Formats: sequence, C-alpha cells, structure tokens
Amino acid sequence: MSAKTNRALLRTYLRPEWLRFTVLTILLISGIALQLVGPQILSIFINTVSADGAVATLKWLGMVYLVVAGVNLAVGVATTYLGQDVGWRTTNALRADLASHALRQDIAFHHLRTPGEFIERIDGDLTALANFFSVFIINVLGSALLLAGAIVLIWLIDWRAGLALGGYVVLTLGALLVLRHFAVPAGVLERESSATFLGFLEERVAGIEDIRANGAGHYVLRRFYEVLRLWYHRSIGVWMRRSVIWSTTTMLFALGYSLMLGVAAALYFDRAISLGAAYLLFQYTLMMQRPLDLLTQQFQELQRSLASIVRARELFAFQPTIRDGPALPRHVAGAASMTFDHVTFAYRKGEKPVLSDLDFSLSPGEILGLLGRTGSGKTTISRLLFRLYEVETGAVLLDGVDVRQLRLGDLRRRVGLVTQDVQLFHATIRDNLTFFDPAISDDQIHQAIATLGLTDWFMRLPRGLDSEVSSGGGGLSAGEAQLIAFVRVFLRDPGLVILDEPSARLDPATEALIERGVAALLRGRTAIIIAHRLGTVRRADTIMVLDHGAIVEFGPRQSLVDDPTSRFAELLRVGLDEPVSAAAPSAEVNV
Amino acid sequence: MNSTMTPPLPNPTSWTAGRYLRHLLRYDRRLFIVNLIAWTIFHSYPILTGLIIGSFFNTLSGQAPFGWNVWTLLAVFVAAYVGRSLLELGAGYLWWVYYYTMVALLRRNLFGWLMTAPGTMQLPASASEAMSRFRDDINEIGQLFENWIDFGGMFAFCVGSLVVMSMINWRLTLVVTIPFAMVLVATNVATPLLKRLRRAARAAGGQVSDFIGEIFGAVQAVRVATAEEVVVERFRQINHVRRRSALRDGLATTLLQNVTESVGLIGTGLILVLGAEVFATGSFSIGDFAIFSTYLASLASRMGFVGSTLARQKQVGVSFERLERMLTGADPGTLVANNASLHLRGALPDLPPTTRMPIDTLQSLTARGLTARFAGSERGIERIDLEIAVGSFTVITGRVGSGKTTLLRAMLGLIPLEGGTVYWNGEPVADPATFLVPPRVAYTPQTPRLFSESLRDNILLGVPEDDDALLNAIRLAQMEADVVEMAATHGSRAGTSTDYASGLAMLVGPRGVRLSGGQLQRAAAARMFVRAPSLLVFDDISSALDVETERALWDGIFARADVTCLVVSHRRLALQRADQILVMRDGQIVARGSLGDLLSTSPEMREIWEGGT
Repeated sequence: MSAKTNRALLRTYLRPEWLRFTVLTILLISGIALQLVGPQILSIFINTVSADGAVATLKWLGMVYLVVAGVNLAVGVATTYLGQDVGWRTTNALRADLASHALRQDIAFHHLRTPGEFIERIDGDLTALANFFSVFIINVLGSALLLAGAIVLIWLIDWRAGLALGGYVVLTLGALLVLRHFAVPAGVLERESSATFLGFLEERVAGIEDIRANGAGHYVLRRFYEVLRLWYHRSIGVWMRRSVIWSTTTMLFALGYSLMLGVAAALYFDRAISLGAAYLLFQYTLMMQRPLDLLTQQFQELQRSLASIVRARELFAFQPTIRDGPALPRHVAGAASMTFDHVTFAYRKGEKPVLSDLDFSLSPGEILGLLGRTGSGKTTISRLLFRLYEVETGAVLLDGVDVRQLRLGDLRRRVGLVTQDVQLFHATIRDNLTFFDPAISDDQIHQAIATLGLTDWFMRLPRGLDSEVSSGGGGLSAGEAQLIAFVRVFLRDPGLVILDEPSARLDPATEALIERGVAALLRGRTAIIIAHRLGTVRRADTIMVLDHGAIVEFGPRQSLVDDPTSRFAELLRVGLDEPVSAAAPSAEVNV
Repeated sequence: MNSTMTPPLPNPTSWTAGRYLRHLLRYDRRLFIVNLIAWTIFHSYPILTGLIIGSFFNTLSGQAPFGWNVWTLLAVFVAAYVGRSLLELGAGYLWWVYYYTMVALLRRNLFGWLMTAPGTMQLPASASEAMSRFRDDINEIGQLFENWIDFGGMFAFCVGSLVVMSMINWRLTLVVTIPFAMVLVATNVATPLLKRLRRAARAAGGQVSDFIGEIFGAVQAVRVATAEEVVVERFRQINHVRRRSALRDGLATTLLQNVTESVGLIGTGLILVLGAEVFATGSFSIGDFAIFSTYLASLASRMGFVGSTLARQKQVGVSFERLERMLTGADPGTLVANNASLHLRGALPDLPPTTRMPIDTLQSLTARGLTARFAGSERGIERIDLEIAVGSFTVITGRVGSGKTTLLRAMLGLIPLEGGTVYWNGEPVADPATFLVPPRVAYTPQTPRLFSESLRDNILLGVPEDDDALLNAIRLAQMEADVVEMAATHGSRAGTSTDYASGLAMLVGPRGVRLSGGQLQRAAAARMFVRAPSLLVFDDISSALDVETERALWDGIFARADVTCLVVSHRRLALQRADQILVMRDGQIVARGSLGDLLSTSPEMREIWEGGT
C-alpha cells in the first residue's frame, strides 16, 4: 500500500475504528460541555453575591459546581482510556503493515539497514504516533471545541467581548500553525540521529563476544564516544529550536490575557456587562490557556507524530523492484524442472559479473552437485532461483516458466533452501519448525521429524514441541539448527531443494544420522547440492564445477568419474576433498 | 529450556533507586542547582500573576489595594510575562544540557561496562531487548530528573501560594488543603499497583522490539520460506498483548492524574459551599476569590505533577533493576560512576597501550575440572581436563551437541564456569574472560560478527595500523584474493592488485552482510591474526572454507614456528595434522591421543572419521 499524504495515511488506519471513534467523540463533547458549565456557575454565583442573594442559594450553586466537577472527572478518564485504545489499535495495524511492507523489500534494501533501525522505525517511531491518537486528538480536537464553545457563549453576553476573544484565538492559532512548519524538520533530525545512535549500540551489543574476545572493548568504546557526541549535540540543538517556539507561545498568551482583561474592564466600566460576566470572561480566557497551551505542548508530540508519519510514509514509499510476475496463481506439485538460460549477473551495475553466461538445466528429479571455490558464484545461483535478485541478461526458468513471470509466493513455495546459517527465533521449537505457520499441525511436524530420522533428537527436548529456543538459537548447537532447517524445508514440500553446504555445520557422525533424512527430503524432488566437498555430492546425478562465475565442467557424475581427463576425476584423484593418509584406514570417497 | 535452569548469577549487592539517584546527582551538581534555581523562579511566576489578577478584580469592583488603576496593572502584567518568556528560553537550554549529559552518562557507563569490564559477560536478554533498556529505561531515569527540577519550583510555588491564601482567609485555606492531602495518600496507596502494571507493560514492549529485531535479522530466511504473512500475523499477536498491557498501565496512571487535577475544581467548589457566608458578608472579595481560584488551579496542576513524580519515582526503580541486571558481575555503583569524562567535546580518549610481556607468550595451557552448562539447558561439559603444549596443534572433535563449542567458550570465559581452573604457563588464571585475549589468545567463533564499518576497521578493531601486519594477516587468512576483488569491484583504481586500500575500505554492511559466509569467517581469522596471539583458537573455521583454502590456511599458520592452535573441527585435514585429538561425547572427553592411535582404539573416533559408513 502507499499513502500520498499524511492525512490519507491517517484516514486509512482510523477508518476501521469508527465505532470507538464515535463513542470517543461523544465523550469528548460531553466533557467539554461540563467544562464550559463550571465558569457559568461561578458567574451566577458572583452576580448573586453582588445582588446580596441568599446564602442558601449560594450554597446550592456551590453543590452543583461540585457535582459538575465530579462527573467531569469520570468522563475525562473514560475519554483518555478510549483514546489510548484507539491509538494502540491503529498504530498496531500500521506496525503490522510497515513490518509486512519492509519484509517484502528487496534483499539489497535490507543489506543496507540494521535490525535496530527497523526496531526504531516500526516500533519507536510509532509510539509517538500512538500518542498522536491518545493525547493529541483528544487534547487538540477537544481544545478546538472548547475554544469555539467559549467564544459562542461570550458572544451571547456581549458581541464585542466575543469578537475580541475570537480574534485573539484565531491570531494565536495562526501563529502556532506557522511555528509548526518551522519545527517539523527538527523532529525528523532528532529521530534520525537517535536511530543511528541506537543502531550502533544494537550492533555492538549483539557482537559483544567478538569484541571482548578480541580485546577490542576500549576501541569500541572510543567509537561509542564519537557517535555519542554527534547525537548529544544534535539533540540539544533540536530541543533549543523547540524552546524558541514555546517561549514565543508564552508571549502570545500574555498578550491575550492583557487584551481580554482590558476588554472586560472597558465593558464593565461602560456598564455593558456585569461583574459576574467580567469574571466569566476572565475564566474563559484562562480556559483558553489550557487548550492553546496543550496545542503547543502537544506540539512536540505533534512534531514527533508528524515526523513518524513522514518516516512511515518514507518506508511505504520504498517499493521492491522485484515483484509478482503477471502469471496467474498456480499450484504445481511434484519435482520441478529448472533452467539457467545464458544468465549473466552482477550485484551492482558496472561491477564484474558474479555469473557469466551460465547456461544449464535440470530435469525433474535430477540432483545436481555444485562445486567450486568460495566466491565462485554458487550461492548467487540459489539467490537468483529465489529471485532475491533480478537477472541482468538471460533468464532463470522454473517448470519451464521465466521466474519473472511467476508470482513470488508460487515461486518460493516451489523451492526450498537449507543455508549454512540457520536463523532461529526466540520462540517454541514448533514455531521454529513451522516458521510460525499455524496451519501446520503437530501431526505433520511429528511425521516430518520421523521421516527425517530425527526422533532421537526430538525425544531429548525437555518439552517436545513446546520447548523454548532462546534468542539467537542459544541452547541449540549449530548442528541442531541444521536439523531444524531440514524439517522446515520438508514441511513446505517444495519441488526443488537447494542444500547450500548442508554438512557445513555437521560432524560426520551427525551427518550420517540425517543421511536417511536427506534422502527422504530429496526423494521425488529436484535438487541442487552446493558443496565444497566431494563427499556431500555422492548422491548427485550431475556435477557442475564452477569457477569465477563460469561453468568449468558439467555432466553426468558417472561419466565424469569415468573420464580420467575430467576436472572432477582429477579432483577425486588428488583428493581435493579430505585426502586419505596412508596411516588411516581406507575411507575413500564413495562416488 | 527446562525447569532446572540455572538462575543468572546475582550481582554482588543490589542498590535502591534512591541510592542510584543520589549518586547520579553528584555528577554535575552545579548544573543541577543552577537548573533548580532557574526553574524555581519560572514555576513561582503564578504567585505574582495571581496577585496582579486579584488586584485587577478588586480594582474593578471598587477597592484599589495598591492605588493603581487597571491599566497600570495590565502594563505590569505584560512586563511580568516578557520576563517569564525570556527565562523559559535560558532555563530550557540549561535543562537540555543537563538531561542529555545524564542520559549520556548512564549509556556510557552501561556500554563501557559491557565492552570493557572483567569477568564473563552474559546479557540477560537478546540484543534488541537490551536496546529497549538502553533506550526506554534510561530515558525514564532522565525524565525523573526533569520531574525533580520542576518539583523544586513547584514546591516553592505551593508554599508561597498557601502563605498568600492564608493571609487572605486561613480557614478557607485549611479547608481546601484537605482534598489535596487525600490525593497524596491515594497516590501512595496506588503506587505498588502502578509499578506492577508498568513492569508488565515494559516487558510486553520488550517482546515487540525483540521480535522485530529477530525477523529483520533473519529477513532472507523469512523471504525464501514465504513466511512473510505468518510472521506478520505473529507480530500482530504480540502487538495485541502489548496493547492490553499498555492500556491497563495507562488507565491506572490516567485515573491518578485526573483525580489530582480535578482537585482544584473540588477545592473551588468547597469555597463556594463553605465560604458562602464570608462572601455574603463581603469579607471575602471577588479579587480574593480570583486569587484563590487561580492558585487552586495552578496547585492542582502541580498536584498532578506530584502524583506523576511519585509514580515515576517508583517506576524508575523498575528501570534501575533492569539496567542493573545488564551489568553482569558489576558493583551496582558502576551504573552511576562518574569518574571518567564523557568526551562530549575535545579529544577522544587514548586507547590503552598493548605491550607484550614475556608472560604473554604461551608455554603451556592447562585446564582442570572444567564444568559449565549452556544457559537454559542441561547440556554442558563435566570435569574436563586438558593440556596444550607450546607449538602443538590440538583438535577437539565429536558429534553435534557433544559440547565442543561449550568447552571452548567455557575455557575462554565466554560462559560462566561452574567449576575448574585454567592455568596459563602453570599459573591459575583468575579471570579467563579478560586474560585469555590478545596478545595471549585470540578466538574465532563459529559465526563471527562484523560491524557496519569498513573491512579494515573490522579487522583491526583498534589494533594500531601497520600495513605490513595487516597485509600479512589477510594473506594468512587466505583473504588476499577477496580483498583484491573487492578493490576491483568497489575501488577506484580497479585491477591494480597491489592496491589493497580500496578493497579494505569497503563497508561490509550491517553485521557484515555484504560478505559471503566464507569471507566473514576469513575476515574474522584475519582479525585474529593481526593481533599476533600466542594461542589461536578456532571454532570450526573450516566449515565455510573449501579444502584447498583450508590447507593453505593451516600451512600458512604452521610456517610460523611460535604458534599454538586449539581447533574445533571434524575435517580430516585438521585431524591428520593434529598432535593431539580430544574426542568429546555428552560433555566428556571420551578419548584423546593421536589420530593413528585413536582410530584403532576409539569407536567414536572411527565413526567420526568414517562419517558413519
């Protein structure tokens, strides 16, 4: 979704809350009426005193005043509660949409941003926006009504007094509106510098072990001082700009009081109004202070809110360059076919291509062993298959269709990936296995665990599927994390599986444990096994050797083994993989 | 993960919020006092303006107390406000300087401790949760100071206004103080509830930021799993929980606030009811009433302030507790220590010099009876003994979950030891976490972390720049080709293979995402080599290296005579090279010796070697 203006964005998120918003409005108006009634009672009281009225009447007026104050209290609490509720509901909806939008951006977009920055943008910024609903709307909307009500009531007593009060309010508000535009950039600046500062902290705190184990604590602390300094001076500058606004506002009030007191005195001396009415005028002018003051005090909130709406819109304005293709939703089952059709690709325009003129295909059920040095482009192949990046020239085809034609969901459901670094969440084992998908039943999970031969591992979990994984996967070894990744992919039942160095984190004993599982995972599926080691490509039908983004060798594994001049055979001979020493018992690579 | 989870180690002693605050006040006492004076004058202003307004109405109704006419009074009134406005500007500046200094102090102390303190450092929560403490809890404490400074001024106003009112009519003054007193009592009664609600709301907030941090840390995994929608759905649930928690907290706070604010109206009402007689007799004038009602309104808004200050004062205890828990093993005073400059201007602090002493050179490393458990799990290592001779190559091997990494981490002080001692050159090491670091020991974890800086800064991490040493480290880490390629693709003078500078200047992105997994590990290895440690510890470095690269790596390392290696690996290349292999299973060393011996004596070793065939 995208919003063209701040208002459009607000409207979008307020609309679902119309019922609560209506009740809120009714409460707000009742509260204002009660506030306006109070000074009227005082005015009558003073006129009664002036007219030497009965003490009993005065006492009765006092009691009414007390009751009004009490009811006003209750209404005020209810209004604030409801306002906060609306605030949380709307911003929670916005939070979810922002998170969803940000998640769907290109991978390149994420490589430029820290998780800490998203915490600030999706949560920190919106807390200011929640205030907008809970505090600002109530105070500002309420204030506006209060101002209007007071002006009307004064006008009814004497039009000149009403005119003076109205003129003062309009002028003050006009001045405030001018000031507001002056202050918004300051708000944006402050949020940005605080996001940078917190982003720095988050990254360093997350990497605390690396820093400490390298004895780099003092160096990082020194960098901290640099970042701290920038944030400190910027923040004070921003607040001083705001202080100027506040003190200007104070002056405006002072002028307003003097004006109204002058008008009251002049009209009273003219005998145009009573003493009670003069007092009422003064009381209402005092009441103007609060709404106008709130307007300015809430001003910083409004600035923050506007700044956060601006930042939310900024985030919404980012559009992934990689989007759903025009193809209709499709549901293909069974093993997938796959083709790289003369693909050339570089991560940035003008850079040396990571893949050059890559041309090969896999038929359904075929298993490809992909070999090559680090940086030869193996990982890039899987990224292109998932369309995490867009191919420059040539095309990647899945099931005979260009991946750019497919819907991203359909494409990615067809392909499963096991990476070397498995991302684990601070959640239950169940959530980690299903990736939070509630549609996957426990039975399915148990079945997958059994099929993959992980029952032993699973039985050792203290609370089964409800066992908690602590943050960052603490409590689980890297090997166990790999096992979880296997179950994840298995549960999704893709037609093509990419195992990116699946044994990288597994010792041979554990690897053997899940051999059966891998076999189950690959059964009836097309697969690409990316590996540095020959041992892991034993089950491959076809071998591809990649070097600097180009195919050095491609062919059926057996014929490559049989051809003594092939690069693959040479690799086998010289024992690129785990060379076998004379002292050790035979452990030939089983090809 | 289970109920027998070991609780986090308690800090030596815990401080009360009051004690923390007293210490914090000492930091820049002069600025605090100047603030207090400026804001006291500012907040006392309504006494003056109230008196002017009272005189105004008395003059209007025919009694002129000062002999001034209404127009003179209005001129005085305007002049008073001009003064107030200027004061607001100056006092504002003083306050922001003070606030940001205090907040900076707390953040520095916390961060400085985490980065440089002795002992094993264990965060009580994830990095994102820690961020919510760095951000919200410290802001909360800063805001308490704001309340305090305002409190001083408001107190002055309260006393002054009560004196003025008593001089007009002490009986009515006494009557209107009753509701104020009742509110104060109510505030105190409600405080524990407020505290509990706030704590719950904070925890729920931490969950939200935690979750955002996790999903955006794993964004590629979310994408390829097409889990965007379900992840967002879970995010909605967590937000929903937070909303309810925050609403409860908000309701309690609002209730208390509104009650205290409406106490002025109640007071005015009481004057009307109980003061009807004195009004009628004329001994209480309209001007007097104007003064009373002006003061009562101001008092009430300040009363609400008393409430919120008291509430914040109580709630700030929660913030201090949460911050205290981040300071593993620290004296609580660390959080508010004020002996080091904040370096907000001027030169940055010098790094402590690294001098290599004879003791830093490894003769032997011995561990006796090491016992440790991975936080939250029963898994761990039990009474491990090991010996590493200078110049040797030791490989720890074993199945997944056998405790290899735990052993390394426990030995290096990265997780707390439950028992056992590490000996360096025969001497017991009191604090492995700070002793077993460069120039003695360096360590490359399984998944190293880099930071959003240049590759050069990531490798050096504060080691004084020395181009030869840096180049050597890069070569040793088999990273030379990568750097040349980075120079070619990112640098300006592309292709000149001797120009490493532009390759090293490449920004690696948040957490090093612009590097491949293998590059990340090699960068971490270079980070280790550039420190020229006596003992090199690798946790499974080979997993992201191909065999040729790995062989070159080991060859390079052993070309230097003085080096000792401790490595977790199951690769044949490493096992064959080992002088000593330690085979682990279920947290114990089940066999040790050379590869040849172990293959004939240890079935576990055979299984690992043969990959279970």
